[in-house]
Amino acid sequence: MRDNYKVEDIQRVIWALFKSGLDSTSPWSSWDYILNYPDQTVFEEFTKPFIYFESPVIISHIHQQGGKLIHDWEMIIGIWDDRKTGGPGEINIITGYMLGLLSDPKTMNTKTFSVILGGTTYNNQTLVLQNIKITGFTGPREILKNTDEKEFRNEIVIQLRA
Amino acid sequence: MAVTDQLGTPSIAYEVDGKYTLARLHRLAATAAAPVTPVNVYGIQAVSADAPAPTIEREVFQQGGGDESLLIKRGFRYSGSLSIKSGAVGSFIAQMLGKTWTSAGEAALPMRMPDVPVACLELVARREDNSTHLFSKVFQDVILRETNFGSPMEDEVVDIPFYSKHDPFILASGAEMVLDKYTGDGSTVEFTLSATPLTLVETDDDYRDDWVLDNAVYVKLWQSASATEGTRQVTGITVVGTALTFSTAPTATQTVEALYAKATA
Repeated sequence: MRDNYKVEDIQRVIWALFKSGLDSTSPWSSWDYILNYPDQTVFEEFTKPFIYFESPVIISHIHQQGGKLIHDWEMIIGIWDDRKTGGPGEINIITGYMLGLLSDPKTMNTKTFSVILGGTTYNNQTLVLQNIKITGFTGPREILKNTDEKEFRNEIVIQLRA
Repeated sequence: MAVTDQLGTPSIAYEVDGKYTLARLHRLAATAAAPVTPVNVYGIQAVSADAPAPTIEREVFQQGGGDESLLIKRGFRYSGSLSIKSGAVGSFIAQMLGKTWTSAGEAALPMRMPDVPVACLELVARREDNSTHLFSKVFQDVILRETNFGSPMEDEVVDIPFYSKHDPFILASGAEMVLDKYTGDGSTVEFTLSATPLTLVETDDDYRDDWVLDNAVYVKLWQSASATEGTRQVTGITVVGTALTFSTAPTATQTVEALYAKATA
């Protein structure tokens, strides 16, 4: 992770964990993974439920005496149904798997993935190698239906240190 | 180095969260095996450790010496406490004492404890992946102290005090404790350890009066099957490679116990 690109790199690393680390295994392969909150045109192109990864936000700092800072961050991970499959049942299954992963430090932190940061591809990465430590999570929150009553959406907030 | 130096960001690897620490123990009175299989401990909420405290401390003066004195400290004790979820206390005490705590075994566990070493407790500190080893805190020759607990309205975390007469230590990343036990036969002088011991200490460090070998915490002899603890051997033993050699063969009634560290495979 690059020093001056943490907002982008944290988001990309967490996304890559799911995108290239988990999506080859069932049921993770049944869902898609996108960076940022989807706009309507992006949303309409999806043919299966997807999980979106928003930018992280700093909530506090950690010091060592005489040194620079690292930060505690929060980041929203949303789960959105595609209006074609599942509905709230599918959303709750995805959310359950997400919470199961966040509750399993060994699986979450040893899962290897590839990530592109600043145009450079880093293979066989883990959260530990990328110096990102997930310290907690809250949720899920059910988000009010946006434009269509058949849309179903949950959000989880993860806390991380990086 | 200058007084205006600014350090970098604090490394996440400096953080040691107990929630990622695996507590496991080797029971000293286990049946002879090389190695004795360690047992994982469930339900631990915290482990605290006190500073070493001497049982005898005396300041000695001599006539004509004014206020110049000699402070003598002997018999150090290393105390601590394990905080365990109340529902796991019974199985923990049973593990430590080697009891089968079931209705078909020894169903009533004591709250008073024998004043003998019962286990080597190894706290394996790891990164948040529960895999990357940072270091291990090792409490050797753990002696349990008395404990008790009641029935509060909500869940109780029970403190189980312990102490040791021998110094705890921190074991480097990539190393783990091994306990090997053998039965003597009156003629065998060389026993093959289950792994190659790592170098642990420089035995001439003057603050390590418990250590007589540089590659083993101790070698003990249990005098009989009914013995409640072994005796540390201070002479007549060598450990070279995987060979533990006695100058005099342990008898058929004696059990050999060796505690050392190996590199994690």
